[in-house]
Amino acid sequence: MAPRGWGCWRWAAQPRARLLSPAAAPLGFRQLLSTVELVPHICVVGSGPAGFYTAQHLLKHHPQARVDIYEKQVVPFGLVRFGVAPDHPEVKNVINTFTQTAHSTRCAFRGNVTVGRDVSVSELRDAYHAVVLSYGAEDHRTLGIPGEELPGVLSARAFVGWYNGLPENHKLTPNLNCDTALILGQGNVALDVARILLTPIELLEKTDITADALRVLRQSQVKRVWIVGRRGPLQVAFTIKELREMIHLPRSQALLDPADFEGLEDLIKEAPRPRKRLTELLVQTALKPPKGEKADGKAEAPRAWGLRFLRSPLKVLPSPDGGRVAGIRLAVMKLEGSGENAQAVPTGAVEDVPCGLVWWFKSPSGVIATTMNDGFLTGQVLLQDLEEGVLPIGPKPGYSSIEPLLKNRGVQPVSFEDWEKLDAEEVAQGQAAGKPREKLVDPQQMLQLIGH
Amino acid sequence: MAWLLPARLQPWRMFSTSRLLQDEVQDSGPQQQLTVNFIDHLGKKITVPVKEGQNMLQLVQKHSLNFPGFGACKGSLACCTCHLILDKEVFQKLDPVSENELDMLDLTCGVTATSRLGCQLCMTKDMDKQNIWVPKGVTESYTPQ
Ligand SMILES: Cc1cc2nc3c(=O)[nH]c(=O)nc-3n(C[C@H](O)[C@H](O)[C@H](O)COP(=O)(O)OP(=O)(O)OC[C@H]3O[C@@H](n4cnc5c(N)ncnc54)[C@H](O)[C@@H]3O)c2cc1C
Ligand code: FES
Repeated sequence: MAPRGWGCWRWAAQPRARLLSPAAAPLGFRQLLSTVELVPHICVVGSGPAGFYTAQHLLKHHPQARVDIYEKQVVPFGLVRFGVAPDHPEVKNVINTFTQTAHSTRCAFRGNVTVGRDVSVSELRDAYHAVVLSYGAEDHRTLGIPGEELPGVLSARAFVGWYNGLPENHKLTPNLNCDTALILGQGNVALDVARILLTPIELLEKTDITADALRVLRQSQVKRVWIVGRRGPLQVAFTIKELREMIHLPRSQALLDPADFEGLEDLIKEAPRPRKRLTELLVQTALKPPKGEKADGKAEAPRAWGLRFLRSPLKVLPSPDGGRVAGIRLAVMKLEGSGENAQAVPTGAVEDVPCGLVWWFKSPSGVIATTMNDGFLTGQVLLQDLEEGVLPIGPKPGYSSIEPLLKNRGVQPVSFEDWEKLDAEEVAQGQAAGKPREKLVDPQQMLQLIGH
Repeated sequence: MAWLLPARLQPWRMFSTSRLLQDEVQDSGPQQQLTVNFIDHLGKKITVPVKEGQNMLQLVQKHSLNFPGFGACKGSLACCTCHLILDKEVFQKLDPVSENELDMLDLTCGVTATSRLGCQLCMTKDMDKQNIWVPKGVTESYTPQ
């Protein structure tokens, strides 16, 4: 086999779905129940790709298994709805597959239920034969440098949640009233943020970006976006498809310092194809700007984005009145070692970059495809456990014992049918505005619409 | 830069791709019946009849072939779950792989020098009676760290 795609090893950093090890069944009973007699009730926590792919695998390979998918949001699909950029609708096509899974008579969606608050994991373990945790990766870490509390310093994750209609980020409404923005990190989420900031508004108007985000972006003064990385051009984490989109962004030009890219082509002769093609595209863009008409058009581009390498944030610099971000102090780094494992170490030099907005992003990332493999794998392990009699034997009540608990606690679960009503409403509202959908962002309104 | 994809499969025609992909290949008169052999993720050989020009993702769907997770993005070049591996000789006879497909292949788990994405690959006479591999089961391409 040829070398693996880097998507594989880079992004599969941690399994997305985790099976809680069941309490061991007494030995003598292990073989008593064959898979055929047992109707396994399985609980999946989280309705993102990991949860749905796990459910899909279980339903497909076990003729009796029943799967309940618990989700804290009113609506399903996790980061496919709240993470994937609005101008990437094709990525969201996986929703069709998830919808098919949810339509199985042996699968139920239980939205608006937060596991750990509305129902405990141990209650779920009592009610189900197995509990699969696939609640994704939360991102509550802070940037960890002085000045990060200043208005204008934003978590990229919250910003993404805001333009994608995540209820808890609904009130973020950032002030884009400055001409230079800076993003810390050179991964695909950084490029998503940069692209959303720079894409001509008439293109965004045709996506499912929220109405509030459109309103704010329409008034945006941002003309230049720096995307800053600790390491060099050979270590960027974004992928070629996303880079190409940036390069082809209408009315924006790339600001790449040729000095950063000279001689790189010689260093990548032996690199795996993905790194090689990505670097070639960077080098080509930096060193051989398009000629003729196109170049003229780009030179007048009102907006620009650029990559800055070997810079690590030290401090956010306040405006004279202390009320906002005015810039950021970056440590100048150098590389020790080479290739993917090169380490950035400070040189002692610093650089101040003026900017009115700073985004940071720290979170394990992944792609939907790796999540799919994880989900299938979890399903497979679970089925194996069932077959070998490792899971608790004897009937389990499943949802019928959880339902009264939720009722007593005043929790109102949302079914997949309910979601489909909301879906229809969103699509109808979107149609009026020429968008694929207008996302509902207020959980209370959503619950009202479905008659809760 | 040439975009070599057939227009109907270009990912930026975003809202229409999934619908269009369900269309069948236009029947342009009598066509020679060809066959391909899929070697599925478990190593089982499945031979299916196919006409020249038939899209491989559509073919897999048409015959309800049970490859796990295949075609998640419905052929809009956004997921790489339709990964197929060809024989070197066959691969070399096909048209060069488009830049967009290569971009996506660069993200594909276990990509090989003769990998293609099924949603971008259409049947040619050179593929007649040849083997096409579906990458090995999900467990084998998975390495927990
Ligand atoms: C900004 C961004 C953009 C991305 N863009 C792409 C892209 O273009 N293409 C791509 O392939 N991948 C993309 N990804 C990666 C992809 O979204 C993830 O790999 C994938 O969503 C992970 O799936 P998951 O099911 O593990 O997690 P999630 O999608 O996060 O799903 C977890 C679910 O669990 C729920 N949950 C959490 N806690 C609880 C609880 N206590 N009780 C009940 N439910 C709970 C959450 O609400 C959520 O719905 C992107 C990621 C981000 C952050
Ligand atoms: S089906 Fe998604 S890339 Fe081919």
